Amino acid sequence: MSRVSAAAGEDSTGNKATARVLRILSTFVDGDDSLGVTEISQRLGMTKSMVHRGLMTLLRHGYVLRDPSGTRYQLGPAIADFGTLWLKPPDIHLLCRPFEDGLFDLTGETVSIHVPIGNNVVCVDGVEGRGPVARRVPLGGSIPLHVSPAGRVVLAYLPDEEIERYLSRPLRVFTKNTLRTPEQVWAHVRKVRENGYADFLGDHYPKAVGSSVSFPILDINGEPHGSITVAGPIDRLPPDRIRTLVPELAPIIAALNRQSRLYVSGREPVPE
Amino acid sequence: MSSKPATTPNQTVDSAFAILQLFARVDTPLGVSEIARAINLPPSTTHRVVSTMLEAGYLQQREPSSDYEPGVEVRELLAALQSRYRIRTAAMPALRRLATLSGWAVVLVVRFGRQSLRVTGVRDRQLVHRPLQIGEVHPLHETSGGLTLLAFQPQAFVTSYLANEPEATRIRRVIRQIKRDGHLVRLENGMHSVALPVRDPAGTASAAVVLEGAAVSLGAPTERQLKSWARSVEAIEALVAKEPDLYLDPFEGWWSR
Repeated sequence: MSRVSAAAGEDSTGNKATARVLRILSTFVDGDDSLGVTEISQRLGMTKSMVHRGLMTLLRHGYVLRDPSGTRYQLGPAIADFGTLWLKPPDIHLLCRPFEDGLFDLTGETVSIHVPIGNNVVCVDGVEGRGPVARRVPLGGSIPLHVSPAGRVVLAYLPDEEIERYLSRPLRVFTKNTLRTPEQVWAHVRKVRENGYADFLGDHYPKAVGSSVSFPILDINGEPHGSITVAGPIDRLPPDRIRTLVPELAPIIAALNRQSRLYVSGREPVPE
Repeated sequence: MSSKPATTPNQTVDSAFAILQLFARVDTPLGVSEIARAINLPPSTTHRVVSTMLEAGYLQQREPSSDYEPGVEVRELLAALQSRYRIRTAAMPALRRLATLSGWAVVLVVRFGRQSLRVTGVRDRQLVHRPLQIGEVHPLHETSGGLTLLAFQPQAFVTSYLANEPEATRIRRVIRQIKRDGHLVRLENGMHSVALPVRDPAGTASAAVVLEGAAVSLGAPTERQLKSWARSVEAIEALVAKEPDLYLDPFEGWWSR
């Protein structure tokens, strides 16, 4: 009995130490070139001696390196031993699913995923909203990049030169609200980049009865994997409701992007 | 029965790392008993380590399975490792242009000690295409990108690399060919690949641009294509010449010890 609890005690000390070492290692993902003991101890609320001990363990494995200065630490190349098989970009459906469900649970509205293909975005997945007036998921539906929130938010996060290339062709007009000049598109792109989302303009269907808001799903280079959209009837999602909704959805969008930003998107560039 | 304690704190930490390394060799999620067997620890101890790692985000479970796979923290660390190579972001516009111009997939590889590491890429526009496999690491002599890096390393490095390599003679022949042509063209497993060195002003290549395409979609590259692609890579070389900091090996001190 006493022996068992002694062993469990050792184990629990070991696991606490392990948890500390892993937390210390995680501070290196924030993009700092190097970190000192004091900075890490402040960030994690651990004593300097705990941090020092943890760093010595990581140093022994090569997971961190000591700077030539001898006082700062950086991520070590042995991290590559953790494997590359898992860096394969996951299927966009698998990556987005939990977050689609999260947005649906929060709003009860239709959620859809669009990915860029050529000069368009195509709807590849979605969760259908509740009620008789819910929006359908336009699975397989294709929209030009300058039209509707789902397209415009993807366009806005493309590299400038690809936007230029897209704008070198005539812009198809759907309604009186469709953006129709490069100047209008650029002004909109700047606004979307500033806000972090694209909202409803009534630029796709004439006499629209629906409204929507779209957020970017970004990759490691800040380029779009695609967009995630919440859509509903316009009386439930009028412009002022969208403005109050955005901060409510923000944590889910941020969590999705934290994951999607770990990968290079398999996006096809806008054609010549 | 032995009365020695189950594990010391350091052993617990080491087994956590052993579990992470184990997942580098498998590409399916694993259950606790499989993990325990693979790292040679009692299931109860393994269970506790796994719980600690789960809580720290180093492992995750994906519904509906209760098996474990590497968590977000592991992916973030690997991504952070790649972003230490600043050439990755700097070269992106040129890589994108090259992908558009060629219709081929374009990948940037860097020298990662005695290996090559695929740090970024742009997908091709063919129906049959190969995943970009960003983050993959291979010994230098095993891929066209790696061989091209090897061809443009200082002589001392090449000599040491090939010292215990049974295929040294064949590799030296390929290296001579790459130096003569300025690129390497290969057709392997139905994939064309063309590797071009990104040289610094001293002539050393710490990175290479590799164009890849399925042979069913694309013909072998023409002389004209090769010339035009080489010019695109020169744009990256010009960038590096102007801003040598972009090309620093973040782990230089580590490899040379």
